Amino acid sequence: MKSLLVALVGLAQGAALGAAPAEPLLRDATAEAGITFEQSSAPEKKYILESMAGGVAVLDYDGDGLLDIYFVNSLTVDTATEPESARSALYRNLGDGTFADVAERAGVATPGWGMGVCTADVDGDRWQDIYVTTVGGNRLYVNQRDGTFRDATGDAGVASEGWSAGCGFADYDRDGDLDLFVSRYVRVDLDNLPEFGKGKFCRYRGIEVQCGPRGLPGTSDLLYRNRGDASFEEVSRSAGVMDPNEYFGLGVAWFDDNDDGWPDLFVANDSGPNFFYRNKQDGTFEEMGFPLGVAVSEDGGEQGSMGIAVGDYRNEGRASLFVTNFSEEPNALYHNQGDYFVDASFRSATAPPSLPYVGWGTAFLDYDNDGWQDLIVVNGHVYPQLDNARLGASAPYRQRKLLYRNRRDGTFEEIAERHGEAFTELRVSRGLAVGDLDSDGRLDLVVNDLDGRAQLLRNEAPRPGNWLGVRLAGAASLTDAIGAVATVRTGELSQMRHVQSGTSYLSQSDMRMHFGLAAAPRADRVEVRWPDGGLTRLLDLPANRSVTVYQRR
Amino acid sequence: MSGRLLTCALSMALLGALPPVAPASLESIAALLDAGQLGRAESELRAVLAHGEDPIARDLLGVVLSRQKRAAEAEREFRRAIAAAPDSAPPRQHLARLLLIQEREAEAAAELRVAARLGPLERDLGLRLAAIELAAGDATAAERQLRAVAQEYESVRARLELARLETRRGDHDEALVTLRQALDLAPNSEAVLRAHAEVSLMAGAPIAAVWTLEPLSRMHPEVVEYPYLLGVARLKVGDAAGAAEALERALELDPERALTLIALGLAYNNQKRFEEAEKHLVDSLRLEPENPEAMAALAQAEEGLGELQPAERHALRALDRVPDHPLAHLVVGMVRMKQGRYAEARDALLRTVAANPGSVKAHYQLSLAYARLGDVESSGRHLELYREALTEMEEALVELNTRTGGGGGGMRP
Repeated sequence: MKSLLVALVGLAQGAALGAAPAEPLLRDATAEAGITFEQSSAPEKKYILESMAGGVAVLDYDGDGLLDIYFVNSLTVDTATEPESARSALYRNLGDGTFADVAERAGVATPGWGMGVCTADVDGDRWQDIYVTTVGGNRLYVNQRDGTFRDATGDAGVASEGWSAGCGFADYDRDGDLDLFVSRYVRVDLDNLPEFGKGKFCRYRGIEVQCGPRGLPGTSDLLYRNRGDASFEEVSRSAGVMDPNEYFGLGVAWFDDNDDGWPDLFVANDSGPNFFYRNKQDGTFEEMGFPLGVAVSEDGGEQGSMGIAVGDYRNEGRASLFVTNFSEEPNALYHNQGDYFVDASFRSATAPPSLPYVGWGTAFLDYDNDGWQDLIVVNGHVYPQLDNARLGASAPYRQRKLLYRNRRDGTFEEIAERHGEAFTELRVSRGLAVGDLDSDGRLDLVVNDLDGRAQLLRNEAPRPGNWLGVRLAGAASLTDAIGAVATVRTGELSQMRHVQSGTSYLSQSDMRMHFGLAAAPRADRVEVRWPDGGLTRLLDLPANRSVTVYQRR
Repeated sequence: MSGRLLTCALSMALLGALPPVAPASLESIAALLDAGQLGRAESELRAVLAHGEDPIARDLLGVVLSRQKRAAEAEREFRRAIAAAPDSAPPRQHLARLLLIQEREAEAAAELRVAARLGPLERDLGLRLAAIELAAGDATAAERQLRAVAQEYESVRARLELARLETRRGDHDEALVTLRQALDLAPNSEAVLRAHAEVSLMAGAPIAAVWTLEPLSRMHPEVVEYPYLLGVARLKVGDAAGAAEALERALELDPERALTLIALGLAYNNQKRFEEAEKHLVDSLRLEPENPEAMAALAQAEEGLGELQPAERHALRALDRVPDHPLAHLVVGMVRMKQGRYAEARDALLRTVAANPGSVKAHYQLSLAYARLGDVESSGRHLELYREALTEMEEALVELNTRTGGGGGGMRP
């Protein structure tokens, strides 16, 4: 009876929303928004260092309620000693559809050889801080509440070394403050880089390409435990998340997969098995990627995994994992069965359209507010030389995006080509972040490209459903409630979201949660489970507005 | 011919097997033979023989008569030469050649067997004797003869024949050694390259097969067999992308070839291009409705597409025909995994690894099946086996790319 009701609700929602629109969903609003950011880029990508950046964050750094954007820039081998040559950008949302780059004034313009970014209120002052991963030394920019940031890396002890990639904050030990995980990729020596095209791991489809990551030494990952005094200690070894095999770490996602209230950790490894670290609730983790079924593809193949999305795409109260992969290795959707995951990549129909593409940034998002999380992936190859080679099943260097519409039955329909140039334009994308930048109740996208200007894609979905934005304000130090889970119920439909730091590909989406309500004029119930296990329930919230839910002290 | 005859005859003389004759006169007669002056050569030889019995001269006379199509007289002279010098090989070979022309194969073979014991046979006669021995069911004698010819004349053909026999008795490694020798002598020979590729595949050395099939398919782009075999070889290494490319070429050359369709379907399956695989495999079953390989491959495509019922049906049909078909068991195992019937999945997957111990996918899925069943130890054991199999496959791919210039797959370096 329940499934029948769900189906009826689904039908009603579908009728209210109409069929999937065959018109542009997203409009490239980059230029009109005044966003001119473009990554520094070496045209030939002779070294793997020049192919992997960079991330993008959507955050409200100035507390004005509007989402701002931080683009990470990277250096090249030729400009490695000139950090000023690659300036990252912090675009302040002016509230009128335009943005102004304030990175210089804010003190976040030159983090070095930038890679990724994650945000959190690290010091518990209710202002968003920014952590930037780099090649050579990461940066923790602490928000000074006046539009500027202070480089607190040294004091905090989170500089790291080598080539860092993904990052994410979570209170893994539930001691009331945020800890930080940093994945690292390849061990590099700028004075002794592998020669382009020379060596058995430097050819692809018969052509000379950059070397790696196979054949290059990997490097371990890092877990910084917050001591509670604005400083951190690196505990990856004792916590069991060091990666002694030194795989090539990229995407990072903290989430509680088994609903035990303790954050677990997923790490996407390039050309190696992914890690799933189950939180043992004693400050340590057990790596369970293989037994849980998320380490490799269904046929046991190690994949070139890049980005991660976490979402309850079936509205069943469990968060599943979506991982973007290299070309000819389909993106993987690992459906959370409760005790383990099953590879639902083909069953969900997400895999086939992804085969030609190298996937990076990704996110679950309900773009049309129908109450079901859709899925987006941005793509782009790593070898510019590919266009002169036999392509096989792979797409050329520049690639389109993928947009999957949730069909509400566990499957998706890839519809990007129906929805305009914003999806079909061929680009070399990397980072992707999601947030409602114009506060119109529709989720917008920001993309950091490796070759070419960044993109702000404004959601102009026609006839979207109703929506509810939920911002969580945690008590004590965990002000952004990272690790909290919110469930919104409308009729028979129950949706769940996690508050996360990091995810996608080296990027940070808005931590505020966005729920599509379809035709429902209100949310019947909003339930929040806070990181400390406390619960808050709100009833009967009107749609089409953002609410802030405060944790009771 | 006469020069060769003379050389043989003279060498026998020098070895002291026969009484010495005046070399000058035999040389001049040989020159007459070379010049085609058979009548004068006959007269000169009869003059020599009138002077006294001389087996070499008599043998030469037999040759002259043979060329004059005077077979009966020639045979008589050869036999007299043999009688005079029974340990001399040339007259026996000449007699055998004459007998072969007359299709008196058994008599010829008898002469050749004796001659072979006395010394190396002429190349064509050696090959002929090997063929006769083989036809008579004595492969050992045939091999011995071929080896002798190969050694004496650096004969490519003899090595090819020898490799065939070595392959026939299952010694693929020995055959590959023989074929590599042949390749050294004739690196561009289509026959040798093809044989090398085929034996390499049979020997479970697909990388070696790729190494020869790449040039072969370039040199003979019109021959469907070469891109087909290349595709099969790459598939066996684990390079599905390279396999698909080759097999697509083969399919362009002959769109109605079931074997190509099946192999291409398997390559697409391995690339997870299940829809394309399904289409080709359905086509292959139209051409060969009872082919168990096609059924199992189609089942795999269907399983990949989530069409579990037809996948199971086709897998079971394949198993009706080939009860230990590893791919069909794998498909059954995957279907059961997806149905959450883990004990049955485990059993099917165990049958897969029994038939194909190197199956990466089967070991990985077994590790999952055991984990779901709570058998941590068995799960760990198959995880280790999975890792070993995966390492082996990856090393093979690296070796393939190294040996072929990285021309193949879409694997991320």
